[in-house]
Amino acid sequence: MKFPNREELSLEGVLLMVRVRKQNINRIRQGDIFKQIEYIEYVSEVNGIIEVSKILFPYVIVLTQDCDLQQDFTFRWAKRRPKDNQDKLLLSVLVAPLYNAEHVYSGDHLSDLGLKMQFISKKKTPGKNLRNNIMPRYHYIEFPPNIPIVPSVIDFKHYFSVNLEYLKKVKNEKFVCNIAPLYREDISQRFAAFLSRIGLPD
Amino acid sequence: MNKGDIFSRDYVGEDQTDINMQVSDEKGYSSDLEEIPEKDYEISKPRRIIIRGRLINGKS
Repeated sequence: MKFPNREELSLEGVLLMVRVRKQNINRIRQGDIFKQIEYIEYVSEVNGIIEVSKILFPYVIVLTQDCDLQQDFTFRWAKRRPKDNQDKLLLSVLVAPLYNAEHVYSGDHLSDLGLKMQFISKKKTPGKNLRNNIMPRYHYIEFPPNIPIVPSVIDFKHYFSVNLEYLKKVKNEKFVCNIAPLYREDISQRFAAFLSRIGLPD
Repeated sequence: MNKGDIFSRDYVGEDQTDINMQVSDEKGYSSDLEEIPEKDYEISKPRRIIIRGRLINGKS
């Protein structure tokens, strides 16, 4: 008996689409998706001229563990926060960018940064592997119709950190949605597996 | 750079200096972060923004 694979099921809209929560609560959660988030590449000063280079990412997803975010919120902003220490504060939030899947197939999702990425044939095995989340580096997501984001790919290799105070400050303006539990755990587990992979010599 | 490398840096200290920042992208166009055009139903691509500013009082 042949079971339908993930992509076959996706024709019914069953598997590829994630569930999301649109409620913007007062703290940052694992699985939150934010738009227009800045990544500071460098800050330099030469002869009185300050130069700041930053990359503006259209969408990112928060990967930091939710319990850590919860504890940070409690220790940083909660009304009854502990006064005697700041042991649970985070320095930053770990995020990864979401790229338009169509741009990822063609390998030009970073063309505005002058980078050419690997071509992934959409209709052949590499493209199917991408959509089935077989490629460790990527996580393919389709959003429900009420979320204005096209099918996207999280690139785990491009993770970076965002200052937590900055993210909290722009949260209401830039929050899009939150990936619901189970779906976010799937992403988190795959990210951890990617990050802890062991590179063996050829 | 290798995994496991440990880095250190000298502490520079705080130096509050007034600066007059001008915003432009790599192509030299003036821009405002809030005015970036974006299609409603499409993810645009990441782009680089360079901000340059001169120190007003000449201190670094």
